[in-house]
Amino acid sequence: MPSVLLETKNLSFIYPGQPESAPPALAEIDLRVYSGEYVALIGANGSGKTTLLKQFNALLRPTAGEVRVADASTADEKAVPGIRSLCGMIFQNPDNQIVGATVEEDVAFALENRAVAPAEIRRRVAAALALLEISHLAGFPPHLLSGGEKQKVALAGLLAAEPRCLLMDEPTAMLDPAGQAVLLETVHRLNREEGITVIHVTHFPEEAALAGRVLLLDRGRLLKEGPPAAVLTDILLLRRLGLRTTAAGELAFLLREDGFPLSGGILHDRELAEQLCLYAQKN
Amino acid sequence: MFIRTEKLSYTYMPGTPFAVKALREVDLSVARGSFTVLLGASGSGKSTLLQHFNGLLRPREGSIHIDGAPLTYRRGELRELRRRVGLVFQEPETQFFSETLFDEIAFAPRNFGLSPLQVEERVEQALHQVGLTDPALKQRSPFHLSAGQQRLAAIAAVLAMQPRALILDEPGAGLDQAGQQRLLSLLQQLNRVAGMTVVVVTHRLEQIVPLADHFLVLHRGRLVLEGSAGEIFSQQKVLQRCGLSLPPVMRLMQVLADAGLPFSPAIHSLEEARREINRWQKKVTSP
Repeated sequence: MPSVLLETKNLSFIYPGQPESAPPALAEIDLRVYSGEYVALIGANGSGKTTLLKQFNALLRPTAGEVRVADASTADEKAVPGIRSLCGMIFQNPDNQIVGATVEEDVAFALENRAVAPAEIRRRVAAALALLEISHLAGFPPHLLSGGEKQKVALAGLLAAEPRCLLMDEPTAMLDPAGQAVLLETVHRLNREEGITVIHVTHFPEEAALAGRVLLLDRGRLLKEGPPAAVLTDILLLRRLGLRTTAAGELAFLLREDGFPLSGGILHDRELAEQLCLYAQKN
Repeated sequence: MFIRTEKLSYTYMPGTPFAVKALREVDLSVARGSFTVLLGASGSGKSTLLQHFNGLLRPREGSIHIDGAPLTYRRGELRELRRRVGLVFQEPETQFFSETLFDEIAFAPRNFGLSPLQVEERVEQALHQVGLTDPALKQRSPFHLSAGQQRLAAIAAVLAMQPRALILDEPGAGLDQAGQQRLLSLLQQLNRVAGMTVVVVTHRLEQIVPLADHFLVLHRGRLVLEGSAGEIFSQQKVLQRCGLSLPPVMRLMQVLADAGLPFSPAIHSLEEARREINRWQKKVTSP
């Protein structure tokens, strides 16, 4: 049984200054994330996805209840530096987290702050750049890079710190298709091969469909959770919340409405292809 | 033509070790009243090109014609150009600075010297266009609107100049699906009802393809493809070389076609796919 890495107990959160009439940003969330999981966090704008993500590296702390990261409470001031090096966060817009004058310096920034030995910094920076295939950009000023390249620099900065968990807030929103694919492949590989736990906030059902587990938030509450084939195929629920599922899932739903005999749980293109081929053979 | 470029080239930091040729002899045109989608990988020159369309950047070589006249980059001309061509940057709401939504939208009309009455009219009209019609919103801080409302408000601030063309860089980024849908309906309405020329840069093609009538593909600063959805998305090899992929519905239809099912990979809307598969089902089951 894998160990629990992240845990919330009856977590509620109200933003300072939020009017009392407004619902809390997070309400009574009980949740466990196990080491090595890949979790997608979905929900409409304002449902609390980013707010929940920020609880996991103590950027925000509970108004009520508790958040524990590797058995330390985020309310414990002394535990916060440890929690932040365990859980690295990557944002939608890489411009908001790039500080170095060159790519290399930027990737080394967190390690220098933690007083890692220079030789070790050089090794880890080189390894992170190589892992993301941006070694050739080491000497470039980051502001001259494209959005996709900058996002890789931001991710390299996290990886150099060798975290156990990546908290990603819509990391592909600003990337081109090739950049999206490389980022997703890289993060899935890190999850699979290095056992890094991933919490991935996304508006894209195609990305959520690749996760091991999907959490659906609605107005600060955890409304539904389970494997993608359970959550992302509840199309009526998703529609009520203004959400969509994958193209294959949407099309399967429409076809079933028309009376086409398809089984439930279709999310991926090849699943729909298989069922249609089967249908053609039978008739 | 609303926009026409001739042999447009642009280099960042020319004459330094960091010189980057961002645009190379680009010849393109955007018809008046068209809905154009500009595609290209990161670093292909899309943002550089957009910034030429309202005079933020000036070509190192070549020329641009906007609304029938060549740009000469005189002061008065640029002012008029920026009124006519509204540019909506990525995450435009990060540029909010006013205390109320009203003041935020009123900023440009006031700067253009309109009377208070005219300013108020412009604000009302712009908010109406984007569907932020609740009168209580006007006195709210723009920072306290929801993410979707903020994006619409930022677009309203540009619409208040009553531009003839609206150019948007990744306008749906960060919005949920309902927000993206509202945004696309708005763009469609501005294009079809108000006759505005719309140019959108985006990587997310799931919903926009059926709305657009014209596509441009940039690759390493060059224009490599131009045409309708059918003309562009049939060139899969070229798209792949440019680091681009098909919209999800077309990708799905491609997988179905590869599995030996008789569907055209050119189908790009769910409704069309649904019709085709139902028609196929009838054929398969009829004796």
